[in-house]
Amino acid sequence: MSVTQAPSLPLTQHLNLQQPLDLSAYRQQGGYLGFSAALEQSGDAVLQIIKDSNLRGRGGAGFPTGMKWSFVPAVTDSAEPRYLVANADEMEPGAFKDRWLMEGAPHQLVEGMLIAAHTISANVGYIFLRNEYTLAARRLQQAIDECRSAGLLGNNIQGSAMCFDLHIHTSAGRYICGEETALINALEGKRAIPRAKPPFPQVAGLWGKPTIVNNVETFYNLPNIVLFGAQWYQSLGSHEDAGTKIYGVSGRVKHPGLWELPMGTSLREIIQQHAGGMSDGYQLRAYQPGGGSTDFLLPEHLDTPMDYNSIGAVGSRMGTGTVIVLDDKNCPVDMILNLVSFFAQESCGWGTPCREGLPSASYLLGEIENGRGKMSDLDYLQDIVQLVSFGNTFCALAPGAAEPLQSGLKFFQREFEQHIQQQCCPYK
Amino acid sequence: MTNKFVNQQQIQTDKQQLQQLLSVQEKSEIDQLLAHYPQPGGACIDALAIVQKYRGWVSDQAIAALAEHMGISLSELESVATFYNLIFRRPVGPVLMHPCNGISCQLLGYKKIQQQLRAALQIEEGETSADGQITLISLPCLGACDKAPVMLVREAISDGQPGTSSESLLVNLHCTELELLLQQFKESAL
Repeated sequence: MSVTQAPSLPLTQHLNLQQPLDLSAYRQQGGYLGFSAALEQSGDAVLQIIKDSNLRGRGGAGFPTGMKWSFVPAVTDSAEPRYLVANADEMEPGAFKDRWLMEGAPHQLVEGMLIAAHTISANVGYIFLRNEYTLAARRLQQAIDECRSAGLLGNNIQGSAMCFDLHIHTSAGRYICGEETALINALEGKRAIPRAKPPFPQVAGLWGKPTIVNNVETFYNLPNIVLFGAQWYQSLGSHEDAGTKIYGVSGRVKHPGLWELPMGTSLREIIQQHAGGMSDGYQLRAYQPGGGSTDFLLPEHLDTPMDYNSIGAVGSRMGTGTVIVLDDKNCPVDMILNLVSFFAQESCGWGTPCREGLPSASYLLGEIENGRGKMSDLDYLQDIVQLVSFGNTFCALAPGAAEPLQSGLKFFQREFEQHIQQQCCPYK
Repeated sequence: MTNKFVNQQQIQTDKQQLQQLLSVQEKSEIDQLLAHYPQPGGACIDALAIVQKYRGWVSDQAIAALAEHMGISLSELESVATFYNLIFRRPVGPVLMHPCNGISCQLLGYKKIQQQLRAALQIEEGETSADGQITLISLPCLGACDKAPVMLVREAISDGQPGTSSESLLVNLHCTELELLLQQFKESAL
């Protein structure tokens, strides 16, 4: 069968959380046509389409996917393994989009990975999955089994020279596994600590071989980009960036949830229209636009389009695109304490500023929240923010951990001072 | 003269005893894993998960036996076992209760839920109830923030059959539901 009509919701058109499409139903709705179209072209040709589409990685950093792939060296020995990894270790606080996609449309992840594998000539793939995502694990395994039986995974896929097999690796749980070089160490059965770069994983990754790691949502974009082209994909965005994006909202809003919307949809539309605005009796105090490791923004920033550069320009990050809303009845200091304690607990201990700075920050925030804070603690917290900032740390996760603290100290200065002056939490 | 040199025979006996600690089923599953990896160390995490699947947790002895069986150093395996949150190094009850302490759940009442659970089970975080049935371990964000506050309940020991998992994600927990749930666990334990 062929599909001529481009979908308006390319990431979620096949999504069914009750009963995801099996292989034959997915194929009836146009599934694996994107992969077939890719397979008819050279890897270089597909790479060009992805580059032209301006697809940016959906894991948080927003690095252009085509450019990332282009660093993989050309094949010199076809027997040498080359690896492709889906980063499905969704542990960012407040992020829940990848679980949704994998539970609702497991075949689309497999298809996206097949397209990427063909493009970079990978022959082994891993889905690095969060331990707690057991329903996603069952559904993905079923999809993989179906594909193996149907000749979509294995040797000589669809009669071509392509060989690619796919495995699920279940993580034993640690936030640092989301960092791609730490993830590779975890896949090698080691402690998940980040590696020095260079060499970059594209050149020397898993077992020292060329390796590409992409976020789950990134893969979901690929089938339709190949089918309908870079220009169509670019036209989906409503502002600077191309495509659609899964946006989510959690916290005290009327309808917490996830939606596929044009890239660049405003925060106001996401929070007020799709999430239904604040629950009755609550006011919007602030929010983190892209998950727990992104700087707070205020109601005055609501008209900012949610794309990488626009959110960056107002002082935060698009991150995972899942917004966490702080209402006026929850204590901002307690929220920051929760986040920083998580990052302190999850610090892998490899980089000194992160290992030493975050537990100190967590301790001081605990003292302030519990009515034992001193004014000098605020200066000390500011020093820790500097200590854990970009340029001082081994990996990119450490500065992320300091972001809510950095903007929190700025936006909630009055609340911090109240806690210290009154020697108690005014919200309790 | 006291023998300060290691007795080779003793080592051999220790090794045999260690080998016997792992079940035939565990060894066969671990051997299958080892075949997949270019180096045996690559199977560390999955092998620890297999041992935990049958025992609920991973003891020091089990780690020694596993290292011996896999042909890797004890310190290498132990460094991995102590790194990951979900490799349990102390005994746990057959039922694990994992309330989510992620920020979205905290904004919607995690602290109250955790307090309620602690009071009902008369334990602190990380401990097992006096009847040995339920272990309370809060976990970071479970990725179900639209349903917050949530809790994951799972069995510590699974029968290894895929698709027969009895775990469940409990959503929008209220105190009455928690009481009912704990009552159910008490009754099923009797």
